[in-house]
Amino acid sequence: MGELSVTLSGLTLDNPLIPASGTFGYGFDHADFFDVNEVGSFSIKGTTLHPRSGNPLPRIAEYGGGMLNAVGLENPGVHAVIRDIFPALSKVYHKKVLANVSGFSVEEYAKCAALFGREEIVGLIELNISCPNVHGGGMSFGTDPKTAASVVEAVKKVTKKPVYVKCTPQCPDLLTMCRTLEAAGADGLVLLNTFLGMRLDFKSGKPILANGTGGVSGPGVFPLVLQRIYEIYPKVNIPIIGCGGVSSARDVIEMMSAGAAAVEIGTQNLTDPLSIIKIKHELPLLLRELGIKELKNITGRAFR
Amino acid sequence: MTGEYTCVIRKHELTAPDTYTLLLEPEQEIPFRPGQFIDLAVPGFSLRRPLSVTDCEGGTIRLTYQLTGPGTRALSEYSGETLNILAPLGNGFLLPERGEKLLLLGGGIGTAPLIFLAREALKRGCQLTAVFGFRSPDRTLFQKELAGLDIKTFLCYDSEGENVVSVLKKEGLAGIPFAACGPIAMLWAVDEVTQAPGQFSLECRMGCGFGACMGCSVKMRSGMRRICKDGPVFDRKEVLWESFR
Ligand SMILES: Cc1cc2nc3c(=O)[nH]c(=O)nc-3n(C[C@H](O)[C@H](O)[C@H](O)COP(=O)(O)OP(=O)(O)OC[C@H]3O[C@@H](n4cnc5c(N)ncnc54)[C@H](O)[C@@H]3O)c2cc1C
Ligand SMILES: Cc1cc2nc3c(=O)[nH]c(=O)nc-3n(C[C@H](O)[C@H](O)[C@H](O)COP(=O)(O)O)c2cc1C
Ligand code: FES
Repeated sequence: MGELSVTLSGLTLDNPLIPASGTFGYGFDHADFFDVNEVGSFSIKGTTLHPRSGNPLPRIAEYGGGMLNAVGLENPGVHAVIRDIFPALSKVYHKKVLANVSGFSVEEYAKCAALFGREEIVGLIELNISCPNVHGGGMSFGTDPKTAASVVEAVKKVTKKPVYVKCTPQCPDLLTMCRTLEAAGADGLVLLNTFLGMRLDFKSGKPILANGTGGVSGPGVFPLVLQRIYEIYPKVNIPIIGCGGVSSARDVIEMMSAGAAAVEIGTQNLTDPLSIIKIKHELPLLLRELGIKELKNITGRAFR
Repeated sequence: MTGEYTCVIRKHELTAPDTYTLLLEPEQEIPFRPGQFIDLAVPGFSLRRPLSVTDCEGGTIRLTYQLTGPGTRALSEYSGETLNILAPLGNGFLLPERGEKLLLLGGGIGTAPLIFLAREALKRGCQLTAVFGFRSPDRTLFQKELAGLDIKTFLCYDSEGENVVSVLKKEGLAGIPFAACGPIAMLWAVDEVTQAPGQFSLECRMGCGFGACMGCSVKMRSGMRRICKDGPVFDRKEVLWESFR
């Protein structure tokens, strides 16, 4: 493999750039702009056992460092994804996806993951225990290590695919959470989902998002996420996918230096749909500048 | 092809109170249909600003925008030579058949995409009537332009106690197929008083503008639809106004 290739629990990606869940749909929309096979892999929109119509409008707000969203996990449900979307996707996309799974009970996570686990196109399962935009589920799993561990155990029993867990910064003790997930059998971690936040309308003084609060993402969260990765990486033995605020090739290098084995890119895919391509072209130049032959060798460079 | 384009600013000036005309020349010609929009990167802002195409002639894109908040304010003060856009986006209006009648209903800055539609419909020999409503006479947009086109035009003003809907009723226009763009309250009222087939161009806060984020997805009669990609133009039979409350 080439100088940009990385490996996640046996799954080799020819580059470490992974569009983050909810910012790449099911791949078709970015295909209007470029050949989506250029990505290392991508994480599909957060999918649940049953279809969900999500939150009312407005779902989007902005801040100086990026955006807030309260989409509320709108998705057609795992059955429709497998029956309708994957066959269409495999005509244009020939790599693996991360199957991002959300749920409202341990059983729901397990059922959904079991169904995705049988799909050829699924490279690994990404458990989203961290969505801030749905009530009565999602995030409560992300703040209590015991409940989170029970999700991982249940999912590990029903699939042989690697299981990665996407954590939330709202977890009061992220280190304990990550160690508990590792002990429960998680194959890797995705750090992090969005930060809980809100904006008020200038004129009315009322929340902009219909949901009131939303998930904060974009370049403004980069240093916050980087710090968490830097803190967790030396204390766990499973790979970390970094996610949060990455918008340039230099950000990729920095996040990998802190310990990420690969990076997910979210908001930047929305403001610049071609960002992945631009970053991919720039990475080899930065490697040369640093005198490093293979990108994967910079993971955890901060600690050597 | 949908893509990212760098455009040279050919003209950028105040053409009505709080309203700017921006002429952009992309590096290569972009084929637009009336009702489609571009997503403009305003330097210093995270999210792009969607703006519908007012007209497109010889490859030059005409945009008309109103000062709304910090993004459009910054755009109006922008002194660079180029701007970055995503285009063409959205589905656009269904064009009327040759010789058919079409009623254009526009409120405020919502009149902008109807200019492009009017020009294309006139090329097809359609019979056009326009009802354009503004807050007050000094805020009228496109008046000279409409006068130069073969369109029966009614201009109405809130300040004079008239609006698009009242004129529509008074002039007996409620039975003509229409295309409408403007504030939601106006569109909803249009839906209530008209009987003919019609299309509405809708707007909402967008994350991406090209279908990837579900930030603009809303309940319509046939299911969840993305305003940016399945719209922004929707058949009147599709729209559930409760979704826009
Ligand atoms: C398909 C489409 C076509 C449009 N065409 C035009 C046009 O031709 N001329 C014109 O003047 N305006 C048009 N608008 C509205 C225009 O996009 C907003 O006025 C503009 O984004 C406001 O940005 P701001 O920073 O000045 O306002 P702010 O209120 O500060 O914006 C904050 C955020 O809300 C979003 N936002 C605010 N108001 C609107 C709105 N009405 N619609 C969508 N997003 C909004 C902004 O994009 C930004 O993300 C269109 C909107 C859509 C969806
Ligand atoms: C519009 C939008 C929708 C999202 N939907 C999901 C989702 O369905 N599942 C999930 O795990 N994360 C979701 N996220 C979070 C992103 O995957 C990512 O974790 C977050 O945006 C931080 O990365 P960024 O700063 O690069 O955007 C969403 C983010 C955005 C902006
Ligand atoms: S704005 Fe992203 S899907 Fe419409």
